[in-house]
Amino acid sequence: MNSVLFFLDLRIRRLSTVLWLAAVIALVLMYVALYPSIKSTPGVDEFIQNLPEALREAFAIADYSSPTGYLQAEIFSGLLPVVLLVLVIGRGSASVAGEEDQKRLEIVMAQPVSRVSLYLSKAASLTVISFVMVFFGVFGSIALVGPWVSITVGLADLFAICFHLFVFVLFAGFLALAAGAASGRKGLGVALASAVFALGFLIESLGRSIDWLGHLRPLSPWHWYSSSQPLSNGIDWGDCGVLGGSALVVLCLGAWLFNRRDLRG
Amino acid sequence: MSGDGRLAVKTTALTKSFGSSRGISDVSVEIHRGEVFGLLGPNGAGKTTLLRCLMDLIHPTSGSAQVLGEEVSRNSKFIRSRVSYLPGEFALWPTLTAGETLQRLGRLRADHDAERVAQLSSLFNVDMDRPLGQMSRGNKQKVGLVLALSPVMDVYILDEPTGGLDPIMQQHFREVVATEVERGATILLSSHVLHEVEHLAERVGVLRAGELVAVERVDSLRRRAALPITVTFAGVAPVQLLRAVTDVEVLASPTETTVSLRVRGAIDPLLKFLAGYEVLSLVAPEAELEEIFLEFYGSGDPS
Repeated sequence: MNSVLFFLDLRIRRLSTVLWLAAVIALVLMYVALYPSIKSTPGVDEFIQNLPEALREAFAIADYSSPTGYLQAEIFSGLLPVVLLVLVIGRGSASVAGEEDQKRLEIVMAQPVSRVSLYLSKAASLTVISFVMVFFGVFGSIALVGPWVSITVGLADLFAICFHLFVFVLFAGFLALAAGAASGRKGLGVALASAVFALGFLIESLGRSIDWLGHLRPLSPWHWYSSSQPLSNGIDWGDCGVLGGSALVVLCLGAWLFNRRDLRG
Repeated sequence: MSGDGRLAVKTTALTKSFGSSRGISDVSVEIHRGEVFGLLGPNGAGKTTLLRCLMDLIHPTSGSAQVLGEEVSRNSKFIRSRVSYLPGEFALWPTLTAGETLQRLGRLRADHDAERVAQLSSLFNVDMDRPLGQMSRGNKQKVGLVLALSPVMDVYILDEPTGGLDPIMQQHFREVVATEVERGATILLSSHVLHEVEHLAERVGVLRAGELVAVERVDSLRRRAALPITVTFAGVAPVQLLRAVTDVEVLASPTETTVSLRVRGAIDPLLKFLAGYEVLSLVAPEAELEEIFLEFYGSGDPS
């Protein structure tokens, strides 16, 4: 880890980080603002109760009339995690492999810094960006604006789901970073991480109603992210440990492979 | 086992094969401390591959490379703290200005000297407030040169350093290099054109298709080079007589009055001979390195 490289990475992504944060806040606020209208729409609950069981399970549609149910179903299982995944997977694969593609890595690696140090600086920057997105963009917006529209959830519960979301996106980011750095191909980082999380989503959502798929649910990162219902039950340290541990394992594996290979000129 | 500390660079049977035909094979060369060494060869001959092996950016297939007496594969971070390297092809962040780029990257070195960066930037006329994304290739190259030349190092490894530079900047570059050499620094630079290195380098190594085919003093390489000359006579060109002149080879006679020749060795006999004729023009383009290669190392296919 090298502080000059860490701050350099944050610096070159400053503008896009600000724009992404604005987009995440806008998305969260939009969902929050919609809550009163959805809650007061007559027949919504009835409509949901009449949906087939399998469909409700697949899309994690729960009780819309309580704030917890709404947040769980609409914000934390919907578009938001996908948007954050797009961000961290893009960032992760760009930070080493993308720089190499752009021919910007060689001049940095000519300086007296080790490859592992460069790689860890990028991982640290990715961690900071994920943290900012989840805790400022998501936690902060809901905690500040939620009460105005009677979304009242305990801050500890909100923090719990956000913490799960944080380790979840961190795993995605590290996977993209590691695969990109190990191969030198930005596309491979994006493809591998996207495939893992897309397949994982299918397994977790369909696995709730299809028996044989259900056995595969522990293979899906989505399972460890939300199946313990952290918004109601608090942080599940075991589940977070699986996600965090996987993130660290792929990070180390990526470092080892990156250190051994030839850089592309 | 530590290597020979008096050598700046030493490679022993250094081989790097890629899947394709690029790469280097069996390159053994010794570059002394305080020397200016030019690495010559046409594009794709393996110059960049050799330099990147020295910087540990790629790992050799076999053989060994030492820089400042240290094995590259074992101690590359130390080497990079004593060696400055300018890649042949590089990019920087388009949104950062030259000033910010130089400042941030400079801080990666312990002995970063902002004043020297400022000096070199003004010498090379670098616009410090301009984002790199708005710079021409030549101007980006100048930023790279400032970055590579500003640290006070034992060895400078510069891959095609003057590519894209105008002649005045090339002159400035030579002055800076000369100062560093006086201080005792070693310079290893590559080029595909001889005249870019001949004023600087004492010795050159010639790479061809990945093999180091010759290591020579620059003056002797020059002497062995065939000089192409085109002569236009006022009257009919005395082609038959020219063939008999020492060291002259007649290549062609495109018109009755014009003849193109190649002189290898002394030019004096040709000049003495021409003195007896009325000569309208005499053109001697600088011998391209490529021609020297073909001349001495055969034009056969590289395999």
